[in-house]
Amino acid sequence: MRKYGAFEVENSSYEMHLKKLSENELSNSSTDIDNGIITKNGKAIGVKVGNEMVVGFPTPSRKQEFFSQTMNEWKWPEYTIPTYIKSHVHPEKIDQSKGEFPLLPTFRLPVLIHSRSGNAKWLAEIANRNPIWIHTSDAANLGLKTGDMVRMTTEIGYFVDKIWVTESIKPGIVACSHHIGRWRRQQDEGNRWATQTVAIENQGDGKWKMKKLKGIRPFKSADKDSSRIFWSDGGVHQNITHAVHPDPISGMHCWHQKVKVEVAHPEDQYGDIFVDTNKSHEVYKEWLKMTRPAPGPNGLRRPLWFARALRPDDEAFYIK
Amino acid sequence: MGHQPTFIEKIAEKVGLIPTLRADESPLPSLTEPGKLQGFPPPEKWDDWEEYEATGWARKEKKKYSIVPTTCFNCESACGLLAYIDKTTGAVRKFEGNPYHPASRGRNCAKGPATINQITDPERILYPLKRTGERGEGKWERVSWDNVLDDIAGKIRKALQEKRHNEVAYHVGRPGHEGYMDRVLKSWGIDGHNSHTNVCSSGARFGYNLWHGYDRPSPDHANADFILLISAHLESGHYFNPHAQRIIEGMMAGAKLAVMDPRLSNTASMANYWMPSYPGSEAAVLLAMAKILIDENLYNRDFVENWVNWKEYLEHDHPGTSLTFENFITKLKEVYTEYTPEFAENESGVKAEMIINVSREIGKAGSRFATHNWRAAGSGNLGGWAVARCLHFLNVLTGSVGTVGGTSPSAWNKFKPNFFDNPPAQKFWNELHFPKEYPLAFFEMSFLLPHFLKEGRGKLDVYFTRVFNPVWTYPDGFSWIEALTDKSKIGMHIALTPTWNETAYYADYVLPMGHASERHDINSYETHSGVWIAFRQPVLREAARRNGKPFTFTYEVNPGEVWEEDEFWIELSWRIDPDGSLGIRDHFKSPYRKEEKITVDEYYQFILNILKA
Repeated sequence: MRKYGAFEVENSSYEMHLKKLSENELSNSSTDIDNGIITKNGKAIGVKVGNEMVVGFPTPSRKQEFFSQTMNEWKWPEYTIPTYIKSHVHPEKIDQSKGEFPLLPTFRLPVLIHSRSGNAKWLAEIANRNPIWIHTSDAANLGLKTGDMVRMTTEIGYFVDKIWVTESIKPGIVACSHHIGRWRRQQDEGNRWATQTVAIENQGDGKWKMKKLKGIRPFKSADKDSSRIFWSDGGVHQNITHAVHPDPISGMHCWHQKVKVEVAHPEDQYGDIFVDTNKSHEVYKEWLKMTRPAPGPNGLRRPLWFARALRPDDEAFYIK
Repeated sequence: MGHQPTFIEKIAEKVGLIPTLRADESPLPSLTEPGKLQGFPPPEKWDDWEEYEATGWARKEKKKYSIVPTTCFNCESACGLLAYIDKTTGAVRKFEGNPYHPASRGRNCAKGPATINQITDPERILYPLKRTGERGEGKWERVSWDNVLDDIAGKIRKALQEKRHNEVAYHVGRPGHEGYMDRVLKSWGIDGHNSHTNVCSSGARFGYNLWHGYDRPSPDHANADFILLISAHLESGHYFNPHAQRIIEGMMAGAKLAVMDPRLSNTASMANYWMPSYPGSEAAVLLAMAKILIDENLYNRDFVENWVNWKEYLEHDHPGTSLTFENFITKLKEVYTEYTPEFAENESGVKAEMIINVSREIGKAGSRFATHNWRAAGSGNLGGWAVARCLHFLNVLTGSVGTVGGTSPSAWNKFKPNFFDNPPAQKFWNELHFPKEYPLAFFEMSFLLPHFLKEGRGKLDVYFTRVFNPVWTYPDGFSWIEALTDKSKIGMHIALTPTWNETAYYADYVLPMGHASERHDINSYETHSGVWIAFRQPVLREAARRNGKPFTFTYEVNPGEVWEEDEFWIELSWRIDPDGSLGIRDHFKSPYRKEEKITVDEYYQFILNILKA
């Protein structure tokens, strides 16, 4: 392993749900006549399909669950089968006449990795800007061209970015790539290949401003390439202006943002950011209202059959 | 015949812009046998590899290298890397692909070779740092690893002794740490794991989990006839490099590709069908496809009849209906009546005709239908988890679950190591991670932590962040700054990180941990049908071992005092429990030397020995 670094354990693995249970596994087990579930010591270990006793899938039915009794038991009867749920950025919730768009803020660039490639000069050289993608027709409606500045207003604040007019985005939608808009304050070190210098102002009562002082600049270091930096932009930090959107079921942060896109105000400068954290707390509370809290059946915090990161002892699953 | 210089070259030579070539017209002697072009150095020569210096080719300067394999850390795929260590200077010169890695097969994306930038970055953090001014003020002093370990261990010990278990937490961005931390946290007895997954993939995971208890897809792209991606896996995301290779292999063998994405990604630009769906409408399109498969009898009756819990559905939603498969199909047709291609077009903007065509292609592909959703729509929208659920519905209908060219559950293609010791599961439940409001949340509600602290739901006495930068990466970063600068909410913040980041600015300790080639790990991921295992190793440590150079800890061979997490956690755990009374030390004793503290070599020796057996 130290020598080759990797090896193949199996070169293919298909249809493992058809794996037959051994005689040993089947001893002292019982099989439900109606649903075929094979149980041993109070736990489902497989399922009878046709005449075969096989391992199946690790669900309560040991099968593929088109119907989820779990969703029913945990107070979501409307979602027991595959269903379409209207998004928080569904067109019904977007008023185009007011300049509102859904913002896709998540797409990645092939050469960067979240915020930990900021110290990789080759990668920073390739990708260092994150303009707003906007369709030609939308840009025309707003009277904007590539490079013009816009103020992107979210639920909790705004950021000022430039636009890139393109046919590569669906009309009515704007997008902004992830990874870019890294910053440091004047007193901070590091990642000068990819960070711009900013000033952060805490205005009190949850109000925060960030202003770009200067972009990416060449610097002197033991690496001669650092004095050859020719890129200067560095992009704009968009995520910091996003409100939290916890999905009431999966818990996933729902990344898309409803934004108002407008021509930058006269006082706006590229990279300006404003956020009110009191507003963000209000948005959190609004989404919290959508939840249907535990306990579930038998005083459970969570279905026992669901995996959980760092799974505690089963007894901790019950609310005392 | 040698190269005939052009006029421009002659001038350039004359003024010394480029070396004069004509002085010696004989070509460079080949370092390999004539007629044998090699993609990679053969393994028998890895200990003693010789090649021409790229910047000294005209001088015919050769360099000798020791080549040590490791794995990349610039996403989760863990593609193979070969580190070229200069035998004269002992420094890593470059990284190339490892042809013996079963997933990446010697091919890497730009982020792999760029590892060399990260380890040679002139501004990297080389020593442990402790805050001197106020938290967030940006003033630091260098401290010793010994002092760091004693200070933190003392704080954790106190919390555990006072039964404040829920005030100690480890919050991880990129793990790249197979099972390791679960073992450490369980040995401390705390419910202290927090992760980034709920800003990442837990939407799709939830949808997959509801179907079959596995939370991620492992598409067999190379053998598929039709591939449907709700992702951009020809260009980005975890496993994109191994996936992209196999998507293209599948397409070269005749597979067709459809991509649902409102943006013309590089992936969509390569597709046979680009379906630019309105964000959040994807599930509507997928259900319209399901309806076509059902209505046009394009589903796999054998699989659906045997492997779907349709009887349970009829019993619950249609009591009184006799439990026949025909009745199930009838009810399916009824319940999805409204999902016509026209309805889907109205929701999504994707043309009904394209939806019909793609559906029929899917029906034709049958069990050779590979699909993928990881983040994208699944992580963008309220109810985004329904996207993965509706996508997998198509795999179920076509009977392409776990088949050749179909889509397997992730766990079938992932190896799980056995550890030398397994501490018991903790008895605590930390509601800062899994609050009652989100009983089904697939992972910790990590991005709400500042709001939970603001509401007074708890506090954190010792808070580790590791390769984790919520101030920048998460939504609502200013709420994170507010939480991190409030010592009444977070007593001590320790940032374990290979690089400076916006969150580390607000730490009490900034502890430099190794990049890809500076630490250990076991890797195995569901990149294709098959199971593989790779070993990430600190390459300078391995080179030192080969050279017989003495060392105890990895920070002695890494640049500066850059350490690795594995040894850090062993040492820290040992010091939390100096007299063994907390029972923690028992979980860090060598399996080979009685009562002695385990070493990281022994830790991996145990895993790899079992594997050999």
